[in-house]
Amino acid sequence: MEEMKEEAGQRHRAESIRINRLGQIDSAIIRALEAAGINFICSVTCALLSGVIDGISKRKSITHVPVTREEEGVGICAGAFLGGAKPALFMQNSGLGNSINALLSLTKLYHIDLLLVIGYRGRRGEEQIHAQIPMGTATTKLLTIIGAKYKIITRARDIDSIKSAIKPGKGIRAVLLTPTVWEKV
Amino acid sequence: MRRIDVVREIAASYYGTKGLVVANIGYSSRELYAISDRPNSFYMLGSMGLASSIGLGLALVSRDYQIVALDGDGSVLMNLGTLASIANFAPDNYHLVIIDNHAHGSTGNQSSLTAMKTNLLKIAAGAGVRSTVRVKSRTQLTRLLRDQSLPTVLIADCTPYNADVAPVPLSPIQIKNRFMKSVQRE
Repeated sequence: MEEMKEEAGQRHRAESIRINRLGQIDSAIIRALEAAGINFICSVTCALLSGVIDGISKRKSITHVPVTREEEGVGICAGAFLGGAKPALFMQNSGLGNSINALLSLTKLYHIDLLLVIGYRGRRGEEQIHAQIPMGTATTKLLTIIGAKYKIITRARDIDSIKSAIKPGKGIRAVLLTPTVWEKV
Repeated sequence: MRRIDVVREIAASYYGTKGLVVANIGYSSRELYAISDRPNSFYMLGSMGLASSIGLGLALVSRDYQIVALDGDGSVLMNLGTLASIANFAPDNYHLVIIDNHAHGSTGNQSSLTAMKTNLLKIAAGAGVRSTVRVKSRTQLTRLLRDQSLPTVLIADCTPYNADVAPVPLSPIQIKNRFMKSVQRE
């Protein structure tokens, strides 16, 4: 009986530490975005980014709009930029497909700055869910075609490099965060 | 009532120093440009469906301004989620004017679904937008603009008609730069 209690206690402690570390990763991402001056975020839900999105919705320094679809977010972020804000759009990489026309005929056409923060699923050899693979394979090629510079972040220790992904006047930039950012803690 | 009548009324009422207008791609932009071109108009040249969204982002960060998004029924039907976002997040300075001519005017006046069973006012109300009004004549619109400020969503019933006006001759960068300057100047 005592042994079982002890074991449960250890499991509980291990889980707490894990959650705390995950929270630290989410916080580090938010700090990097704030350091880069991002003050307006639209998001479409994503399992990888859920902790970051939760954290952002509690930040007073950032206006957060959870949107219904990525393309809508491209429009709202463009409006915020016109009003003087520094916007970012959170999405899973599947959402990139939903936003291509808007990214080209609005964001790129008018030379609007936008940071895409993308939960990057479906990389060949890593993904367990087959449905993620077609879009996962196309993601970086699509970014290249639309002329968006991107950075792939696979480790928590590289989170700070988000800051250097953002450069005013440089149009569309993307940061792709793989599941391993949260796994290798 | 035609689209250009609505555009004329909105331009007359909301073009003061504290008004910013986002005009939909096609004849909404063309007619607005022809009636009265101002730096505080953002003319869309692409991204059909996003006038209401661009206006929403602008309204959230530019609270000192009254924002009017001039949109059409066909464009709103492309981006119906916008009505849910507007219901939940639009500030008081945001006004979506839907010119409902029951047609895709800029592509040749093909019927849209509002010519059939679809009612955008009910969809907006169902999405949770509290302040919605439909006007059916120019007299009603003039009276509304004289007596009160625009609701969150105004639907202006129109007949399909495109004025004989040229495309907006400005480049996208010109449109953006002068618009952003006019926002910052205040």
